[in-house]
Amino acid sequence: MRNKKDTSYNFTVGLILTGIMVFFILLGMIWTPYDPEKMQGSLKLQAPMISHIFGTDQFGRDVFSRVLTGAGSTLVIALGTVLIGGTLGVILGAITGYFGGWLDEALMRINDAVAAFPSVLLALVLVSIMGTGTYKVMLALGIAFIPSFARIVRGEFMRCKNEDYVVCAKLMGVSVPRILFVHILPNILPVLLSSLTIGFNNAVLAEAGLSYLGIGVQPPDASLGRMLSEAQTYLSGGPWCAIFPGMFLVLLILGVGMLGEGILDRFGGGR
Amino acid sequence: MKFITKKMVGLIIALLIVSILAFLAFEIIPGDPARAILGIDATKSSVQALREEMGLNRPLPQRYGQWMLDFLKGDWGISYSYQLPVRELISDKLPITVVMTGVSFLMILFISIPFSLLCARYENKWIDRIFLILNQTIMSIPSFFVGMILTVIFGLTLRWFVPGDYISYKDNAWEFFKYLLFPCLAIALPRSAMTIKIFRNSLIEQLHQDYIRTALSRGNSKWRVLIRHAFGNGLIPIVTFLGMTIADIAASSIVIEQVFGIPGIGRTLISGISNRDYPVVEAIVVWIAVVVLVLNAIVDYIYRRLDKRIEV
Amino acid sequence: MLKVKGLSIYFEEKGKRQEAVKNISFTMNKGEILGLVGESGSGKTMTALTIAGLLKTDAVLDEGEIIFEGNNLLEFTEKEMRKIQGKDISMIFQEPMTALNPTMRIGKQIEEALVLHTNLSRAERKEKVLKALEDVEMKHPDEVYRKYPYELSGGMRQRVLIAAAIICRPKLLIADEPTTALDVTTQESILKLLKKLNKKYNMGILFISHNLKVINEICNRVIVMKDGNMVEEGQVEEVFHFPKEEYTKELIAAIPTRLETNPFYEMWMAKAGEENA
Repeated sequence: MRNKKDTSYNFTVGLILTGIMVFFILLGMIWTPYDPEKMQGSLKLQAPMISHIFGTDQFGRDVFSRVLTGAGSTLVIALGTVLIGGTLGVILGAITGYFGGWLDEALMRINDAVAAFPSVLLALVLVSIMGTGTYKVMLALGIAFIPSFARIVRGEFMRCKNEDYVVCAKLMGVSVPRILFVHILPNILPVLLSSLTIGFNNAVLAEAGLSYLGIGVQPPDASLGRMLSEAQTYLSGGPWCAIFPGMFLVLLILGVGMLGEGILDRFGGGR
Repeated sequence: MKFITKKMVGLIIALLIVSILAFLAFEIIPGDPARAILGIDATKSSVQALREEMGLNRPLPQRYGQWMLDFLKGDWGISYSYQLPVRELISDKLPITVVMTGVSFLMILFISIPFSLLCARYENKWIDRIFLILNQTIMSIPSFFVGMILTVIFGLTLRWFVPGDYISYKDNAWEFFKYLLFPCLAIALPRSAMTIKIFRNSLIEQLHQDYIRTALSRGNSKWRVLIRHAFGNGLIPIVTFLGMTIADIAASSIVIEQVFGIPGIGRTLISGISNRDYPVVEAIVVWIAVVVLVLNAIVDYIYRRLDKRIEV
Repeated sequence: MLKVKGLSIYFEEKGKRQEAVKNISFTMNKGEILGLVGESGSGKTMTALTIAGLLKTDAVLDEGEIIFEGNNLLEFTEKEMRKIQGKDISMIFQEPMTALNPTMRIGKQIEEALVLHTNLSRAERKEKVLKALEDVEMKHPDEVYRKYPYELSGGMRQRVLIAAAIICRPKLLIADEPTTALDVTTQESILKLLKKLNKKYNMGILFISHNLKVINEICNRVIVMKDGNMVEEGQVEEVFHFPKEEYTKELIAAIPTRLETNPFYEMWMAKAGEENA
């Protein structure tokens, strides 16, 4: 088990790292050192230097600017996914977990059938039906993540519905929506937030994978995944084209992951 | 016995649900398959004729029934893009994906189990702490990026393999296998990190239980107690995770195929999606669903056999 | 058989020494049942665990000597200690419900000490296990052999644990509150069983408890501990009827009995009256 020293380490480091990454991404949304799309024939595949700290790619475009804008797409999609999947998942999980009964049985059967699937695959299916592009990817991933959120939330609601404070609220005649969202929800918040961070990371990975394969974010929208797939041909000549986008992804996922762990460490979770 | 039948029924229901969802997703929602085959310029009458021929005007339940029957008989549709039976397109590619999934899974086991035991034995000592950081980092690297890194280090720099030089199993089984090692490693590494983390936690939780103290009082060494007692009990909660891992590996292999240029069903699936070749996508997706669901049922069964307290 | 000399067990926190057991000394003869009685925190469990060699961690340190059959256990390496654990010194604990591996069959758990300390074949081990189950008065030993712990009651599990502990005929059995978690009738039968085994195999028992009645029933001699110190020592009848120390008297007075028969009731009431005045 972790001891006291490791507990604070996860949360603070995670928060700081995530903060740094998000800061850069938000910065990239309003300003980048160069126009990410601007091609400069004379500066093709330049190694990192002072004027281009991440180097340039095969078209002479500044890698740093491209990484920032690409990460912006990633952030938007991942947040959107978590928002859609999370909200709908929480509602679904709350209702099935709290009420149980045949509705719970039926929905859980469907949920199990769908949840056994890797969510990336589900997203693939949805993308194949709906088409590609930033918002469609966000919608596809959001829908694909509903089952996993619903399952976790359902588990938590089932656990809490027999707790004393819920029974008291019921006896006092508190309305059901109020019980669900004002009484129980705050108590499962640590677990929920932690799974939101896990969901966020999975969304980042899924979007990167989809874009890498060419069926995610489409040009002219930028994406770290697509940058990686383009950089693959130039691995020997210009590894920085792949290293920096990759590292940005890793650091973002690492930061958010540690943040999620840290939340569970710091704020318990009722277990 | 009664319980197994209940589980089988559950499995069949799940498979049915998946088939219905797949049918709806690929036959109904995307629009008119006849039009997709003939193209945008096709005349209305030719589209109608094809629709009749394909039986698209029949009522939905009937179409579903026919589709199911065809599927079970081995007819998995005709690809829009290639005008070939889907079965032909994917049957020689399936073994590749199956092998990759299997090898990756074994790699995960061979990597995770020893290191989990090590970390649990030396809980909170320096080796455990190193692995904590290592795991967290490796878990955060997308598998295709790991693939690229492996390509740069082992392919381009050390020249242990030639990137992109895939050799079919039909030509040389050993070379085929050797080429797959690095792709499978790319899939296995991030997932192993996750596995080490949770298995180590499970083992440590076991080591804090009373029965371990009893075992130690009989003269067991700490290692022996870990392997003979904690390991078995610690594995039980991990079984579900391993089941999910198999599904996750299958999904990762799709992306990894692109990194290393392997012609598995991943490539076919992706081109199917880009080209809106629904029969191809549908067949592959249904097959993956079937494999995943069956595997999960097996995993669930193993889990129940292991934990004697639960009824089988 | 066992001689404890000047044993101290302590922690070091920020350079300061926190003592759990303060310089205690006692002897135990072969085949005797020695009771170790005291409240929680008196150090009795720590003493027992140290004798059993189960307290070797970085945080806990010890001083003094524990001479068992001529050797100082505190100077043994882990490997040397393991040779003795389960064979010459065994231990049973308080909670029978959680002391057994839930996914391992009873037979396999009982024979573990034989696997570790002998070279017997599987058949020979099975024979000994069945005999051990008979020793602890289990009905249908061959059925129990194949069962899993969850199929047995608390009392039965404790018997299984005793069987596992005695299977190598240890010279010393350390019993840490073995009946505390059991209901009263089961308690009685376990105590009778322990007495029987003590006589049959001339096996010494170090019996730890906070329950004076139980100690009175089973032990020959008793040591009273408080806050890590040895307060009193002697034959059970003597200590109970003619306690020398105040603390011992308080302990005896606190035993729930019928008021008229408790010899120290008046003294205790007087003291309580003083405190409330």
